[in-house]
Amino acid sequence: MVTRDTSTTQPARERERRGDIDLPPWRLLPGTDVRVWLFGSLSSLASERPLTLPVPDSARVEQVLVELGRLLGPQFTERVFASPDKKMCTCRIFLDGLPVELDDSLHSSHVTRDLELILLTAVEGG
Amino acid sequence: MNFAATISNQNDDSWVASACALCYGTCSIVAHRVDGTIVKIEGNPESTIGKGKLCGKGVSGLMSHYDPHRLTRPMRRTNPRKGLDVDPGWKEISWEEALDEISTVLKRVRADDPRKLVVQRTTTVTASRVPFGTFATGFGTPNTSTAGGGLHCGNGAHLISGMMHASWSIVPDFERCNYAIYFGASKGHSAGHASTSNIGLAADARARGMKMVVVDPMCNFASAKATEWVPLRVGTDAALALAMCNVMVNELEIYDAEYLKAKTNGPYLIGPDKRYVRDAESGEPLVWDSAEGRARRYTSVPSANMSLEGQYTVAGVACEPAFQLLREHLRKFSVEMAESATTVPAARIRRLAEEFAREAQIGSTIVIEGVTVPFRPVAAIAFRGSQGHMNSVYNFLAVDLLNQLVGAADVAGGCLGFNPACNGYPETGRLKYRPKPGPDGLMVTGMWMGYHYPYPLGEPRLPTNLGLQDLLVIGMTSPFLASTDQEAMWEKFDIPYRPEVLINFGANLLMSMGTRETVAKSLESYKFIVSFDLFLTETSNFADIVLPDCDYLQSLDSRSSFPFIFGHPAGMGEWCWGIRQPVTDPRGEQRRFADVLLEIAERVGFAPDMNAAINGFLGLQPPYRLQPDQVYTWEEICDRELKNNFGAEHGLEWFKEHGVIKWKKTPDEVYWRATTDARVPVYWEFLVDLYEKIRAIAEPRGLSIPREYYEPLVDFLPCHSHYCDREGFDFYAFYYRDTVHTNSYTMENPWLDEAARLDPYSYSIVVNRREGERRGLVHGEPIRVETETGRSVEGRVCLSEAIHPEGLGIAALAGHWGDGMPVAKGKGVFFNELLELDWAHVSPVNLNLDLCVKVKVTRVGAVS
Repeated sequence: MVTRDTSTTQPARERERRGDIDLPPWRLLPGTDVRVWLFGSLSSLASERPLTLPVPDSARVEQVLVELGRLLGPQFTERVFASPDKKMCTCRIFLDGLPVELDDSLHSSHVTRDLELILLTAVEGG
Repeated sequence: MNFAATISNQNDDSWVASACALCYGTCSIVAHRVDGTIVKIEGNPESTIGKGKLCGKGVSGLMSHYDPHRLTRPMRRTNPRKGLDVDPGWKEISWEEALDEISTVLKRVRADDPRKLVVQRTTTVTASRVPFGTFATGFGTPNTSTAGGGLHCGNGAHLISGMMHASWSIVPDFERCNYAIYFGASKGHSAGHASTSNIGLAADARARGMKMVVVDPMCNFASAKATEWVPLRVGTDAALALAMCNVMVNELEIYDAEYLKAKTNGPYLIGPDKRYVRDAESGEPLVWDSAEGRARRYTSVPSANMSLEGQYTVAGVACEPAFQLLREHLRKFSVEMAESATTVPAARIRRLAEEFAREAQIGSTIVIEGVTVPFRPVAAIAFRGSQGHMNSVYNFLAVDLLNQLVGAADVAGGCLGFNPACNGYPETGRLKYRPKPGPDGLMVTGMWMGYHYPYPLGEPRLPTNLGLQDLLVIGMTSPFLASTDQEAMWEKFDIPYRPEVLINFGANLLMSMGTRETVAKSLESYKFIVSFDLFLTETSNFADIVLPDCDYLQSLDSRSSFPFIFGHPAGMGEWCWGIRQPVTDPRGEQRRFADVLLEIAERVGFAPDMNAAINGFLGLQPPYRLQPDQVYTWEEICDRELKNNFGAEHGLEWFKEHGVIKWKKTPDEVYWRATTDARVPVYWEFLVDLYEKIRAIAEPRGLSIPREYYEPLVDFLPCHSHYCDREGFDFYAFYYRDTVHTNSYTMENPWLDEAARLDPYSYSIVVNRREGERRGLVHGEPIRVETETGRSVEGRVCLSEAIHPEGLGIAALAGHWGDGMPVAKGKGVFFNELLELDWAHVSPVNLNLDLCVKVKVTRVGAVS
């Protein structure tokens, strides 16, 4: 096992400070950051990995995905959501390495958390 | 028994525990190695997977392993022209050259549009599922395929088994079943899922006295051992099964009302629009509460009070329970109608129905290990044969309806899914899964092979996948990666890209999908093909680069018996997790495909993505989760998966030494249905909406969707072949899986080839003796078999009483023509040459290819 250099650039918080992106509606609530890792076919939608997003303590996974849709555009939403309130069954989400669903809370408690998203392949054969 | 955990080439006399891969049964084996050479392969007596037994294919594995025609060096084609019978001009190259060129191409494609990569693999080597699935996921392409696997055998059987039994396949509960009826299935008598395990279980069941009825056009592996063979016209299984259902429900009035109320959507009220009548506030389907005399939400009524029959009016809407509609619908399947469709005499159909219904012992229970569970010692199962038709969904569902009507689904003695519920490994709690209720209370499988769940269905959308499964959402493997109409279909839906690169693992799709010309044309359209192969197959001759793969005796797989819904024996007994480990080193420059894929991902720059995909596929959790910034070998990944599931002390080294880990099953796991609050659909209401959604997208673009395939009540719909009345075309050609071979791969094995040559059926065209002689055919002479569209094959005829008078049977998948597998070359008959591969010849619901065709037979010479 060897270590690979995957240094990140231009976190979202920095872009937010510069005014490149709008503040999410919850930005002023008390909270902390979540690092969002987009993998596979989602990775090309963001110029950086991880994206760092500010979230309130009470945020649910779904809110983060909606915010990502706002930041990354309809290509993200179309790939991740089957309908407005239902994610694609191929979309797997992990919070600090454990699987979570849309309704799960981030329970940030001022600790930066890692949220991973990936679209797994769907097709299987005999 | 302790096994050798390291490979030694000197002074070595060891037995190595591993897993077979001669078919996807993945039986546990022990390989005897002497001074680095494998001299014998046997079943592993320590394992539940095969229980120490091994089939003829398994024991012959060392002949494939030591085949002198195995590839040992990477090769590059020098002839840019591709086509059938074109010499690629192979030139040996180094791995560095090969990987450099592959990585350069993939970097370009990934930057351009990753969907231009198609990843295809054989289903025979189940160990390829995770490495290739995670490679495709990490790369970012949704375009994966399993060639003929699925398209021919599983789009119907697997999805409906998932929908109705939360598993990949179904089998009788061999230990307790008294009456099993097989429709185009051979479970326990041939290859495939849990093959050797089932062979032992089925043999014991027959010896115990289980009556086995086999409905099949041909009296082969299962039929020959059956109590009764019921020959029927090819592709008419649904007509027979539905007529049996009609006799049971409407003539004998034998059905398990309590089961239907509690475990199916039979009580749900259906309105005139064929949809559920729903509660206005909650949206839940309504049932008629017979105690209160009013309609209520299904979740608020004890199942005993749910009405299965009657006509009601709810909020001004006339409605009936789904079962009432089903019961009335079944009346059209009279035994006389079924006799006309199937050729099975009406009296025999009625007798089979009566036997099945009475043997079910509705209402009975049994105590197993102190637990009282429902007892229904009957099972109706189906597999590739019956579902390989235009009517794929209904043919399979009609057979399963027999089980549902008598409550013989996942209860003692009944029809079992392969291990739909597992309480997990006791020491860690990992691997725990169980079916659960989903939308409208219908069952969602607890475990599946991929992320294409049978239920709830995906939302149809304007497709962007080359296989169009994002529109035709029930389909798994698609014909459109090789069909004659692929370009027309892609144009219809404005697919914004075309495939450019194919990575193929061991699939000989030129033989496994359709006619060779059709598939060759699709292969010619790729700009670049890489193929991982053991031999130069007909398909690898279209590749730009061929990579010499390690076989199963040189490879590592940390989950050879998992998921348990795939190949682990059902019924009581033990859970068993085994691994596959190298018994010998690679020969020449052979490399293991999983390590090669990891290296390519690293070179192309998506290794972090592949790591993340592996985490997702394997369910790795901290501290065994792969990190994005770390580089892992496949051996390290296997070690992490094992520790993740079984604890730090049970890593790869432990498994190499011990082979398998086992723990006891409980009645609650095996007979989970009674204690699981989930229903299955005897009325497929969701097809109504699905049809509307698909039609709304497809029809404006010129693709007509036939409504009759999307009706919520199971039906019998004839195949194209049933409408053919052209003079002289009076046989229904079909293929079957030969028990001595696995698809086209094992044809190269000299021991199996010898066995096949001794078998009068394996390499011949089987025609009913009386019908053949009536046409002047002589046993053993060459004949030509020709379709209406002019496609033809030739072979020697075998006249036999063991086939339906209208049937023409060919064992699949013979007829190799390439030079890379010289033992296989020229043996047998290539059935797929007779098939049309296009939208018109697949099920419009699940994309399963129609595998029967009406043919004319002519003599082409005298007996030599």
